[in-house]
Order: sequence, then C-alpha cells, then structure tokens
Amino acid sequence: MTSRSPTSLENLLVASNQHLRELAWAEFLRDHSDLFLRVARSMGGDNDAVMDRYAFVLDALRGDDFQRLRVWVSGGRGEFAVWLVVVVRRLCLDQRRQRYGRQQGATASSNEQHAQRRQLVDLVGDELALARVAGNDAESPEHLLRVAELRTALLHALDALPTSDRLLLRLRFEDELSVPTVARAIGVESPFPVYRRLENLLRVLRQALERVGVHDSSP
Amino acid sequence: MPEHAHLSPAEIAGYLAQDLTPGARSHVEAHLDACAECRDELVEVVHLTDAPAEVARPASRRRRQWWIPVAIAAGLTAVMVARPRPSSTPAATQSVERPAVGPTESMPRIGIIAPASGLEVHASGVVFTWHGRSADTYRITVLTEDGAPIWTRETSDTTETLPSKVVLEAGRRYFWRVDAVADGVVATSGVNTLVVKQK
Repeated sequence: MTSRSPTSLENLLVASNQHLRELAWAEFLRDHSDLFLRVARSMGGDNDAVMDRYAFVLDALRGDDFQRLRVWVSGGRGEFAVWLVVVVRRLCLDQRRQRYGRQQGATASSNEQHAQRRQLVDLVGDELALARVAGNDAESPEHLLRVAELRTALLHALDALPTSDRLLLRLRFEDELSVPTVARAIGVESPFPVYRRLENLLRVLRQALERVGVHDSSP
Repeated sequence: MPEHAHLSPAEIAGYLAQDLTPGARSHVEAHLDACAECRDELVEVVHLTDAPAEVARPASRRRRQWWIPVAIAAGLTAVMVARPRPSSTPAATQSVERPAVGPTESMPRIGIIAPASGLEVHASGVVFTWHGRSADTYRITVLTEDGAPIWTRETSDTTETLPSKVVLEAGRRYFWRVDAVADGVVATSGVNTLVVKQK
C-alpha cells in the first residue's frame, strides 16, 4: 500500500469484518465529507441537487467493496486528496448524466466550446501585435496579405515549440487563466517562473518571426 | 476524443504533484495540449483543491421555526427510554436496551449512511449522514441513554457534524435520530445508537 494513503483509507481497505468496515467508513467520512460536499456544490444546482449528488458519491465509493478507492492503492499518484477530487468530480458528472442524460444540442462539449473560441495563434498574435507590425493601412490588400503571412509564420513557430511550452501558452491565452492559476495547473508553486517562461516564449516567437523577415514585432 | 482516452485521476493528480516520470509527464502534457476537456478538468481540480478546507454551507432555506414549540411541547417524547423497574414485566424489561420509537414507527424511513447504528465513534467530530427525502428540513437529535436530548440541529443538508462544544463521554452509549420535516415530521430514521470509544 502506498505510503501516501491516509490512515482512514488504510483502515477502511484492510477492515476484516462488517463492523470494522463501518467504523473505518465513518472515520473516512469524517476526514473527507467536506471535500465531497465541496465538489458536489461546485457542480451547481440547488441544495437538493447537491445532496443527491453527495449521496450518489458515497454509494458509489462504497460499492463493490470500495473498489473505486482501492484503485488509489494500486496506482495512485500525487496527493490522495487531489486524486479523490478527480474521482468524486467524475462521479458527480456520472450522476448528472444518469439523471438528466447527456447534454446535447444547445450545450456543446468542452472541446467544441474551445473550438468556437479564437485560436491560440490569433490570441498570441494579438499579444505580439501582429496587425500593427503588418502596417497601419488596415484596409489595404497588402496589409491583409502581410497579416496572413505573419499568422502562418507564427503558426509554424507555435507548432515547433515543445508541447509543455505550447500548453503553457494555451492555458494562459486560450483558457484565459491568471498566471498564478497556470502555475498551479502545471504543478509549480510560485507564479514567478511562469511569468519568466511566458516572457521567454513570447521572445522566442518574436525571434521566429524575425527569422522570416519581421523586425518589429514588439508591441 | 473518446472518453476512455482521457487522462486518469492518477495522471491528473500525479501531474499536479510533479509525481510522474518524464515520459508520463510528456504524455500528459501532449494530451492536455490537444484536449480542452481535460484542461478544463485540470483547472477545475486546481480550484477545488485550492478552496479552503472549511467551505461555508450553502445558504439555508428559510427556516421554519414553527416546529420548535411543537418539539418543546412534545418534549421530544417520540424518543423515550423505558426504565426497568423491579415490578416491570418481561416485555417492558426487553425494551430497556433500545428506546421506543413511539408514533413515528410507521413513518417512511430515512436511510442512515453513517455512522451505522451501534458503531463505536470518536468523542468529537462525529459526522452524521443520511439519505435525502423530500423534505424542507431535517432535524437531527442526539440523546443520552436516558433519552435526554443533548444536541439538536435543523438543517437542509443530509449531513451534519457534531460540534466540538458537544462533549460525548468516552465509553457511553448515545441515541440519535433524524426526522424529515415538511409541514410536520414526514419521515424518520428511527432511533440509532452510537458508542463513544474509550480514550
């Protein structure tokens, strides 16, 4: 069993009879019911909906002799509480699907919603002020052509970046997260390294544009 | 992207804790770069795990205070302990071990999730959890073995934590029950017992 397992989980999974299991389950709930409620509330709805979700999570975690919790022991990584948040959040989504069915039609999936947003290349292009770099005559065909050329060059530069760097730009510009949130999302405690990485990345992209003949990409 | 291809909880937790091998971390980053759904989940998990440990409970619904005088009038007599007397009949003696549930016996039942009846619990921080019924309010009551209520609380949740100011004595047995209230008591858990662990 991993050393990162909380005591209440270990007691629960090794309980040898029903009485001990009930004891351990009560202790496990004492440790984690706040977390369950927090996740259940994050999905919205009125109090009844939240409490239905909460009860569903408890039933699901208890099911099959705590099979879902045993998965942590066999392959858990990171912190148990974080892992549990992911598991509980997915259970809440399952409960919502069971109750209301998969949302269709008007409600697009997350990927579809993202696709409807502006693409990363355009968002980073704004950051690098490509339109201004292309010249002031915004209505002229030459300007439009120049913008298109710059956009293509930037797209190639983004594709050439390491995945981790492109992910950083995506979280910052496409998902519009604050830098401190981006830092936490990539597992970095301080936002300052992220500020520096972003600054470096924008410089790298400017340099990439300079290599294709753009010399004034600084805003 | 099909659901089975999404990141696992272990991958997300491991990524956030920098607890993945370089290869596994690269795999996660490549997936996140391409999958907005998993990025959204990652960010949601960050927000949820950043939240303070004690989250304020949602605003309770308008509290119905009418039940208080009813409860006082009833003296919580729904839960009574039949004390054994020298002259008591065998039937009366049998009821000493468990409080009678009185007029609520035939009511719809509220399923108890935790603690299971008869369970040994710690003296503090006991979390009571039950299945919801269609009710505006739940009233949870903890009583001594003599049937004297020592704590009662009205809530719209289906879970409640025994506050620290309520001190349970080690080794003692207590009773507890939950009633669903909606224009009167409409369902009840019946009486459950709990035993406080010895120190």
